[in-house]
Amino acid sequence: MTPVLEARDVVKRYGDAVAVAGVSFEVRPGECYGLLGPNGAGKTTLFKLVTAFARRDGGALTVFGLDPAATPSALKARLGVVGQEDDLDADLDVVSNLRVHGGFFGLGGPALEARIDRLLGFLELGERRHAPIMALSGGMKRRLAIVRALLNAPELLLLDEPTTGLDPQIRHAIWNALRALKAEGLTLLLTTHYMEEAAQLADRVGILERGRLIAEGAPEALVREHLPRFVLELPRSRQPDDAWRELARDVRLTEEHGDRVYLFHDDEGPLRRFQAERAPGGAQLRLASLEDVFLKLTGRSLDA
Amino acid sequence: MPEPAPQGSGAGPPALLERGGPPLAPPSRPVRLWAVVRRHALVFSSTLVANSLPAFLEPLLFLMAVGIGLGAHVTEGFAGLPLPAWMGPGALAITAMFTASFETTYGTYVRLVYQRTYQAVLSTPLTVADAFLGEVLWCGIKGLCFTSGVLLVFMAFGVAQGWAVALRPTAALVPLVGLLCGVLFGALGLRVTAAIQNLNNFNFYITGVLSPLALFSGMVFPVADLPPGLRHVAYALPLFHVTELNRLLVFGPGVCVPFVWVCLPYLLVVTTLVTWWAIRAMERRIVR
Repeated sequence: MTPVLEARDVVKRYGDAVAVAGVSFEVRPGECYGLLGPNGAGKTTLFKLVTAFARRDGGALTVFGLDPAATPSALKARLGVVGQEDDLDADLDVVSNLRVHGGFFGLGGPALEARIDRLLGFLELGERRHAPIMALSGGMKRRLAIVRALLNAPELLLLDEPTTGLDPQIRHAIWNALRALKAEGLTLLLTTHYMEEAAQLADRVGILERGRLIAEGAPEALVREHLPRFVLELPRSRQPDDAWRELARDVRLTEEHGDRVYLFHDDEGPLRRFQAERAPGGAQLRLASLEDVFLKLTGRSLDA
Repeated sequence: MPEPAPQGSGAGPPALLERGGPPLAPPSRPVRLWAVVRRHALVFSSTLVANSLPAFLEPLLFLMAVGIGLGAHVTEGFAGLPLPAWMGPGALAITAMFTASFETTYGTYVRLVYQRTYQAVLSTPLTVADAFLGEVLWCGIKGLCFTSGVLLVFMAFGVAQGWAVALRPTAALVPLVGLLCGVLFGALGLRVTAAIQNLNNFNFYITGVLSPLALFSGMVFPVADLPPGLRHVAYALPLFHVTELNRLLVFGPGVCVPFVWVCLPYLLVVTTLVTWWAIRAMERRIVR
């Protein structure tokens, strides 16, 4: 199947700083691909390259087989974009925002009005049609940005940190909406530094670190590939060295990051024993996650 | 606008996205420019009074203060015209100039930096050139409308003061000069905005460039009265050509400089160059 988006060795520099250092990945039709990484990893720069806000310094990038550097308009006509920051038109109310935005795609008339009604209803903004943007909460603004990005019935929806800064309830509402869109066959490319978001939505994730893609795969497969199944996370201050080493003998993998120590094992038993005997408080036993993969691969946490 | 057929007619909920149709093609250049103009017109119409009153008041107060107040003591105007009549074409020119200038300086800067408007606009098929060509076109339309309004008031002055007989029918074309002047100063403001990192720096442009332009472009007194060096500088100023063109249309060639026929081609060339210059600068600021 022809990929919707294809990046091959994409390079982007800002002066001496390399923002994207040769990234290759593809987004397949109907899938949700998540670009994971801390701030500054190059996620937003990749988006800017797709939407022609940045000039590529090397490699090949195509969306729908079109190069954003050569035919930005033809490409963007088929794209939906939800930016990281609020970029709604503060000078216009909700429905005017949508009409004007539709106009930029050459859309108008009853067909556009019907779409506006349907999408406002879908994201539960129907009651706010005539509200000024200033009167909307952060969650409403983000939902409106999604409505706006869907007006042109895009074939690929780009979402840059779609739920950053929103409370958990709104976050779940947005995830549900995105899942519904995916169920209709919409291809999604999102960036996030929330592991849970990636695990909830993405079929595949690519982990970006300092402009490079350091790992890629389905979320569970990535965890399986890089780590044992369970992890015990404990504060470093709790470890009495010798006893700790003895007990940690049959722990498969030990990682230390900052003031935390992570003990990994395929079985829960040894970790649970360790927790009971040596670290009764302040330790947490859980399933290994994408976050741990990121920590193992980069030595840093995602929020750093 | 062809509409892709909704998917999944029959069982199940109606499709949110109307997928399955042919890929959406980007609209043509005129449609894109019109969409940008429409956006500005919508915003403008919702704040009509606050936006238009100052733009009308400024030249009117000027005409009244200098033209009538001072004019009462200056029995002789210039070129056989009473002072208010002499100043009218210049007042019409600065109306279009200031209207357009505020739109693409403070207005564009706020949209660019604080409201991130162009981030959304440029995520659509619109290019930087589309967005800002549309914007200077809107400045032209504003220039046209405000010039028309001030022109009517100016003519009413003429009737009240008894010099209306000197008006030519070609005065009806003055709003078109306002359009050209609006595009020119819209584009020039845009060029300044592309270079500016702080909203306060516009003060230099407004008081350091536009205000002197207003004073030395032949509105208050004939540029020919300046000493030779300054006179030639003034002859190069675009606003001088706008004023002179207005004067030609309102009172005929008798009150104009002999080379008044150069004004229109000169303005067209300068406007084209400045517009190109401004859009290139905006591209460099936005696309990195």
